[in-house]
Amino acid sequence: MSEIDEEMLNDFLVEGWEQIETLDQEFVHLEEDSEDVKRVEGIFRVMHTLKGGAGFLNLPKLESITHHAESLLSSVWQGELEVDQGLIDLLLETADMVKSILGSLESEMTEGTHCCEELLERLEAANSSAAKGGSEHEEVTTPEAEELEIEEAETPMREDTEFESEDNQETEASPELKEMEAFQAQLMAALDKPAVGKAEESGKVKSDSPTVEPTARQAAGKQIRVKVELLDKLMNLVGELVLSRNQLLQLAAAKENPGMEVACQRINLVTSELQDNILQARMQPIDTILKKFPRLVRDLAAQTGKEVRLTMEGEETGLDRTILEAIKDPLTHILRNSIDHGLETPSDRRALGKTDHGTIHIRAFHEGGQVTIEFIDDGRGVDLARVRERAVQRGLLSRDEAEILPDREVINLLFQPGFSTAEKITNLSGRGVGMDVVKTSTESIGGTIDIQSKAGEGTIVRLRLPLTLAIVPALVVICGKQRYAIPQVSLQEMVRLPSADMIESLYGGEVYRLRGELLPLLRLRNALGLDCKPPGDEVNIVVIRSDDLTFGLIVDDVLDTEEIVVKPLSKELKALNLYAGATIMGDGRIALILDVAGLASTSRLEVEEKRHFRQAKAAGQVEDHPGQSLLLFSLAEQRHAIPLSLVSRLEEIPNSSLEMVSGRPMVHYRNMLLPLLDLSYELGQGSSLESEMLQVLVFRNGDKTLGLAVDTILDVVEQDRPVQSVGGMHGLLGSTIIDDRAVALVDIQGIISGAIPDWLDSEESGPRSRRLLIVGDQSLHTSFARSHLETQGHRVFAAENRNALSHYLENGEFDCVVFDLGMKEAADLFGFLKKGWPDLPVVGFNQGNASFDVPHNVLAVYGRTPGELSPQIETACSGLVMGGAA
Amino acid sequence: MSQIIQYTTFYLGETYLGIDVLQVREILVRQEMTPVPQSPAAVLGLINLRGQIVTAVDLRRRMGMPPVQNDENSMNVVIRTSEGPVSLLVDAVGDVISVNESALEPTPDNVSGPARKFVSGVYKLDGCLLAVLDVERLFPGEARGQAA
Repeated sequence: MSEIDEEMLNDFLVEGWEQIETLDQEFVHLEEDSEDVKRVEGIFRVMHTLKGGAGFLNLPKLESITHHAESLLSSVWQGELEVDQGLIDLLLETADMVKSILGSLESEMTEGTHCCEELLERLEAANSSAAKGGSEHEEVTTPEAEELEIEEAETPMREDTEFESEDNQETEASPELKEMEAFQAQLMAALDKPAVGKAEESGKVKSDSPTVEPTARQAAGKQIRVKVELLDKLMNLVGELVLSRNQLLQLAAAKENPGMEVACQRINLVTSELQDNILQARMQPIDTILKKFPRLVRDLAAQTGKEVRLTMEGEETGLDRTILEAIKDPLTHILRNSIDHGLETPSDRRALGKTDHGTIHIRAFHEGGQVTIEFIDDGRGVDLARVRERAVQRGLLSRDEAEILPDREVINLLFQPGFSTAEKITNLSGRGVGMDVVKTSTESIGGTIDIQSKAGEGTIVRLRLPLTLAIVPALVVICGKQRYAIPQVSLQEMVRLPSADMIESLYGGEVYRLRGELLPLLRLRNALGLDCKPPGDEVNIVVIRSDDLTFGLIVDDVLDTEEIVVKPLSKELKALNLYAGATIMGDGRIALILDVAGLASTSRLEVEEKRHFRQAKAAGQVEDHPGQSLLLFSLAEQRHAIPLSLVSRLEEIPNSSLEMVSGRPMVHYRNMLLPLLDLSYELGQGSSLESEMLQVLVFRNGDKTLGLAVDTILDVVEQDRPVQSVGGMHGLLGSTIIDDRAVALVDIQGIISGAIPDWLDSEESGPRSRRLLIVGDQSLHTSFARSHLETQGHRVFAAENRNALSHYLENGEFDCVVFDLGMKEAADLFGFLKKGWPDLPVVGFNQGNASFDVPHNVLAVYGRTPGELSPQIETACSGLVMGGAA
Repeated sequence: MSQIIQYTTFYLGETYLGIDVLQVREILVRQEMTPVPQSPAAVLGLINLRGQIVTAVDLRRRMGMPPVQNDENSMNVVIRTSEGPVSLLVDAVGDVISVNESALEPTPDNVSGPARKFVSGVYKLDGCLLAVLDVERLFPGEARGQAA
């Protein structure tokens, strides 16, 4: 290739890419509707334009390929060649070859070393088979046709398409070659007529895709190409203009000059409109991404052996190009997921009474200043049980946690890094991005993603994206001497408290009761490490929701909402994870934009909240038991509680009977020494051993007793609110609201085992590890018994229902089953257990509230409190198993 | 082949430093700065440079030198980096000088500390030494941020 005028080549490339990209779509449509000759015409034009350009720029390879493709297409148009899979494949291959040549031209200014001889041969063969006609057909066995046969055998999914191997290349009539050429010439003449200039021609070709309305075709000629950099520059300038306008408005408001005010208002209007229009100009239809999908779907369907019908809606919906750029990969991944995981194979679908082909519907639309993109498939939906199973396998959740996790949160597990429910790893999934990356990249541009799914019916993946990134509405707040902007998307509401007294604190973590819910609070001045005092009594709370976490941000003052232009920060500052950017305010000064998610995680809110919430739930101690009795007491002026059932007695003991025995406080109690734990001390809150009369909660474990000293025993109350976490505090399970006041729930087991490690152990604990299965619901007794048995060194599994019970018993050997006779459906489950596994030793336990008549041959233990019960269960188990073994 | 290079020069205390003139965008008097809480100590704040937001870096701190008592007279040397413009706060600005590139000598072995990292070489001028700063090396934090 001799000298190529670089500029001309560039023009050709821009145009070439644009056109070749429309081709993929066209081919696939053609495949669906082989009668649609209009499409052939469109494709023909593209090939023709490319050929013209290639000839002009002296690109022989490209020229000959497009030439052959063009001839082939004209045969199709004339009806000499029928459209079939083989032809489409050949054409797609041609398009791919054209793409790689264009790619080489772009990168190295040559056509590259692509080996296209073989492709040319096949094109030629296909051509000649069309020309020679049916009589000679049998001799023309093209390599392509052979290949096709193999392909067909490998992909059973194609069986039911109209594809019938190479016989389809046969044509009924065979017009003369000359006739065809004449036709071709005619076609080209028609094509050349309106082609006044290159731009117009390209516009024409583009608009000729049959999906476009005829009116739109004419409009295409009025478009011009604009460099993206120019648009970016304009965008920046408009950003500046917006700032200057804000500045001007402030000045105008200060000066009382009516004429000035009018002019300013006018400028205000014009600027807003200009801003809108520039934003519009930067918008690109989402079609730029979606148009690649039909081809992708086709390829993926072939690879997975599935039949997929793709429909799209709202392809013209505009999005800022930076956003388009950011969501390209995520969208592709979602589509890939839908096909690979979502849709069933044709046979599976038939068995379910569905159509053979799965449908994926992509819908894009504007809604409330955002763009929503939905992927709707009619596949199998998310298998929640499998997600739970996989989460347990991967160690993300314990089995108990998985069981009680609400379905919504289970679906969210799909966004965990590296999470996949696919039974086997295919080459489709696990390529590049996972759903976690999809989520991250969506959120990085201020978008959200959620999945809705109905088992057996399908899945909807919904992305909500902002229209643009450059200008966002934000709330401006003051903290210290500076202003900070909080993007409106994460704002929930604002609360102004007349005094700080309404904020309660639990071990340094501040909370506010917002309509009965505990709202964790974060002081911006602390998060930013600002060293100054808040101005007045008033407390301004900005309620922020970010990534499933709601918290209140305490700021000094709240100003106004403003449209701010987001400017990037240097990497060094971005890495702080506190700021999303900066903006220039109306007065020309800079305000930092807060990164609320970063703020929360930097302040360890996020992690703690989630983790702790789970723990409290898994422990099952209070969460699932509304109506449980709590013993309320105070420590260092703060209200605390433990489940009443854990305590065996409450005592008041004079301080004078306190003694120190080998460094541990003890009191004389009923003629023996009762070891005391100072709960305040254990929680780092001073001491409860200083008052005249010690208030002691007495715990009992078998023969052992233990006293827990608190400041004041207050009350016994019914707890009916859920437990919430307030951050990872030592010795606390969480907090709840009782009588409109916050109460901390003490992790009594944790504290006891932390202070006196062996106290919870049973005396006769020895090296006898058993496999035990506890059958019971999530009651305190069950949890207590379980942890007690575990501390004895047994392997303990818990089953809550029939499924879990049979699952465990079928898949594992157990020494003994521990059965909660007081649970719901106890009789039913017990019957089931005895029927299926009659020889398995069973220890029943309850609080004297067995809901059915326990057979006499079952060893049952009774106890009023879990503390009493657990050692008995352990003794019974050991006895039973030992006896059985002897 | 030797080449003439021009350096924008400035002072940090007694130290005479230079940056390739082509990497310097402009020189400004002290600007109003917006502090960035929790930022590295060397970051003094953000400057609004005609609508562009520029990070101002205390070059003394970055070079491991003690801060000056009165920094009212310090100047901003705004340089171009691959990450966009950055402003370096220096004590005073000198002339633009031309030197022959071949005269550049390696940093003496006994120069240690942060300066060792940032100084790419030394010119022997009449009566003084000119240390050449390597702009890209000045922002190691940025590379780290990139990796994060």
